[in-house]
Amino acid sequence: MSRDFGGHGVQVVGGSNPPCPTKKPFLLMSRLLALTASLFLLTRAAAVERVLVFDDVKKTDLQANFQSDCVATQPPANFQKLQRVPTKTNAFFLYFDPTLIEPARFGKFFDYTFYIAVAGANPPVWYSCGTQVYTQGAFLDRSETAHFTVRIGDAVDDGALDVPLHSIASRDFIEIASVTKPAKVDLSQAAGIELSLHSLLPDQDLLVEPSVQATASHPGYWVSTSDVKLHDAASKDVIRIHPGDTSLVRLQLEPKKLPTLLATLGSVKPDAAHETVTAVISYRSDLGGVLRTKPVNIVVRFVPSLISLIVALFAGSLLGTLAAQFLPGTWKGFKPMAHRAARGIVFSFVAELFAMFLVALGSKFVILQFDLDPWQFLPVFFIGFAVSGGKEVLSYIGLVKQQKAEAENA
Amino acid sequence: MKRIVRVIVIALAGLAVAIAASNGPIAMDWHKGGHLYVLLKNGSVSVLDEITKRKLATIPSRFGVVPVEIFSARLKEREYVFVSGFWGRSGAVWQYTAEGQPYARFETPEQAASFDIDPDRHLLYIASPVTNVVYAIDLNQNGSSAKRVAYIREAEAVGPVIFDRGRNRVILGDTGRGTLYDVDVKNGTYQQIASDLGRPISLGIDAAYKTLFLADYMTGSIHIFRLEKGAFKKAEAIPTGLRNLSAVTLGPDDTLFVGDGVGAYQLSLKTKKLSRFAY
Repeated sequence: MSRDFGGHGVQVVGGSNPPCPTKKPFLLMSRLLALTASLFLLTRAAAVERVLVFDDVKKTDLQANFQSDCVATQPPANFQKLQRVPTKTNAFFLYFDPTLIEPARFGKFFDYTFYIAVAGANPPVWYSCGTQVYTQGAFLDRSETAHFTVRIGDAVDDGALDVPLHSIASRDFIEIASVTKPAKVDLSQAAGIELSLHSLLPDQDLLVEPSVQATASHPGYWVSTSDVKLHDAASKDVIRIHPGDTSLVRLQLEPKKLPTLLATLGSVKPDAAHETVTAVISYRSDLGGVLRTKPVNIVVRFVPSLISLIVALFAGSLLGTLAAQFLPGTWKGFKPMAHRAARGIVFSFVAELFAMFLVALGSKFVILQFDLDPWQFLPVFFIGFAVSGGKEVLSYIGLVKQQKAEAENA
Repeated sequence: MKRIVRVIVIALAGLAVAIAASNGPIAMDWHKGGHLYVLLKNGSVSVLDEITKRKLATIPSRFGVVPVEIFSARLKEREYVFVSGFWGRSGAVWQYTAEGQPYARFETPEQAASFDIDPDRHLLYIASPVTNVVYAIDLNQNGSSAKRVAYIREAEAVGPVIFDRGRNRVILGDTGRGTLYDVDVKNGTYQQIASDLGRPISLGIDAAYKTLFLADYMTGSIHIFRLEKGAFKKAEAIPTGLRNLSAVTLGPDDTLFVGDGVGAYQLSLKTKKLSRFAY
């Protein structure tokens, strides 16, 4: 591969001006000079081409090919901060800044910049080596040892360094899941959805962008699904996950209280879904990996606020008490009804606490063969109604009879 | 007190420059009768008046996409702007109205994100650096309808693409080998028309389709090719001195618009002088 390394300031003009006969000797001299310059440039180009040569990296799941083009340069301003690798006999030093790795503009390969310094040279001799790195294989981004040879003039030396290698293959580097299944969204606070992000990379950090593209099956349940962000307690900017680690983050989606509370009325089972949110998360490996996206479907279950549950319990309890008063021969005046209502509220409260305790311990809370979730509005209302209304009301509306009949049939 | 104010002003100016530099132009496009479109590193597009450089609109960036290329075209008497990008090994081209409203999206195969448009046939020519294949996508069909046009066997990683309406050819740069190919879109045959071009990063063509401009990222030069006997021949090179030259497109009045990822410039083809403008 030969390239125009002396490009800066080089201007190739091809026959746009007709030759002037009166200036022939000058023209001949110019051509001779141009030819000499071209030969010099070609020789220089051929020489610098061999300054840095990397061996291919060949592993079972990874192949990497390096193509370096070096040009003489001044020492970089920050070279003390760069990673420095001496060659075997310390004839040269290879300097490398992995943070400058970036995917090529059109994709496929990655651009690396290496610097070569001749040890002990005065004045300093430095080369800047733009390197295209092509990778293949089903690997996840990782570092590998690359062997290189430096040749400047007659001096040849070799060495090895660990370089981060990146893949363009369509493999996920991250596992995303909601911490609870279904994901619980507390309606009493705008805490969002808790997600766990697990990095699959063996030795490189994973960088997750806080901006998320979110779509909801019921957009009306949310204040907004645009400009959604991931919140990590540890960082305000990009979320950095160390190799193999798991990070807990919150998807900052704020539910609308009334529509979501109404949504909870539709399903009372403990594991039923109220909503599905699709979040597309973008990430890349540290040190120049390609930007990737991963969509994740999150099944959401809304959890009403404590106040909503208390209101449901009171409402259910009062309705149960009131319903019991309408049964034939039950009415004994307002005072006994008030006593009964107060008693019903207390017992409902105890029953609800008991249910919460049982469910928290992993048990099921079953009333009349219904597996109820004591954290949902409708079941709590029902607990209040059933406890305060008593057997008479349940019997009157047929629920107890049905249970008895079923028990007899069994 | 004055010193403190001066320090603050200098610091703020430095910060503004740093912010602007971190989101510089990576691709530009202009054609006669249209606006100047500047694709920035963050994926957003600045729509500018090509004469006054006044900002007319901003097209927001796409989520999770590495922006690559921008072209504008007039289709059925309406101006559209096309922006491409990739994520992982996937690619896509998004079509917007000139006002910045999303209009259509075209999935592209194998990270293909360099493209140009044939406005007469309503075709999108795209090239994949992974497979080195040139595809054509029918703009009138929704979804993915990429048809293979040519396979550039010798190429290492094909990059910028431009459609030459004058000869019905696709001109294609190889960022890996520093070469330029001329592809016949009718039968898929191609020929190498230039080499030793460093890293071709962007292509532009004049309104008469007789002069081709190629930006070389490696040397910061703009190579100029002229059409001679039905083929583009390298005529001259203009060193811009820009370190990371990334964009070139024809401008009005014998000028070129160029970008280097940090700034946007207008280059006079007569005086060879660059003048910077805000985007």
